Amino acid sequence: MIDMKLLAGVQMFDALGPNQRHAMASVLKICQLSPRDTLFKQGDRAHSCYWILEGNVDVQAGGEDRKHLARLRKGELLGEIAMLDGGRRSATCVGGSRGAVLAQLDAADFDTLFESGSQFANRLMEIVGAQLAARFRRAVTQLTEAVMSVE
Amino acid sequence: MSTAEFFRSLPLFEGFTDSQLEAVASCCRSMHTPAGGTIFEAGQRSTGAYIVVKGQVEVTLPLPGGHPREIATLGAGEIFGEISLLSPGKRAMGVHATQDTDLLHLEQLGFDALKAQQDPAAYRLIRTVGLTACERLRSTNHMIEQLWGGETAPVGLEPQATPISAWSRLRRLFGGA
Repeated sequence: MIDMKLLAGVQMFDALGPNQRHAMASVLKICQLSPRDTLFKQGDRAHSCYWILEGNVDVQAGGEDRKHLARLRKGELLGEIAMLDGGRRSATCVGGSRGAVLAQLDAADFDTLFESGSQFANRLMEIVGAQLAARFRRAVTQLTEAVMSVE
Repeated sequence: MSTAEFFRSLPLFEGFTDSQLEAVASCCRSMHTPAGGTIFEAGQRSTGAYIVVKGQVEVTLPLPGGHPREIATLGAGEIFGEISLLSPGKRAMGVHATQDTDLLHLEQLGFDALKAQQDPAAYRLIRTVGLTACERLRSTNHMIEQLWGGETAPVGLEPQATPISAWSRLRRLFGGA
């Protein structure tokens, strides 16, 4: 059970009623990340998603060069596709310059919430779906470019 | 057979309760498309997903200045246009019937109404459709890597020992015939 005050300012939690927020706080875990500490690497099996409660997280392409892709900030959600399918991480995430405090939700706990009809789990499933649709549309654009390049 | 009974027979709807199947069925409208008919074109605004009851459809990727490329053939029990249930928008690909085809159109409006009522069927549907989308996304990414890398698929996956074209591989990855 994490301190519910830590969740204040994260839109998805602010939108919940007291009962739902309590149910969430009971399954979330706090995860501290020092600057440049690795949260997960591209290719790792994905079991959890995270909300940034403090600090920031850098998203990098895997491989030798570790190209910087994005900086995620307080309130943002990351790694959420893991709630749907325990596939592999598509990027590497490390603590930003000030490190980060994260709330971690494991896929197994998400499943329990989802099966119990939790409104929060429903909303998270919607977000995961929309994220996936955006990725799929980008992939189709890339596929078109790839086909054009070989013809 | 009722629509809900038909759904019960599909792997896509595994784990749905009877009332959830009824709820999804209530969003569906039966339709028929003759061989050669268009179900939707790339670029059109989405109006929901489709499930093939009988017949066969072809999914095509539009190419600027060229003919659309066939990337998958889908048959009975398979879903397409499912990305729109996750996020309505423009169709990325076109779909045409290659045989006389019976379809169920899972209409966006009905689906949105289920969501507005917080009906568990809506979220279970997002989940099952999301899993299908995950598989198709992974296949698409794999194909992009292969095209950029200029690799061909390992021989031995097909009965003939001829090199497998990238497209036949993509079609198989997409779950097409």
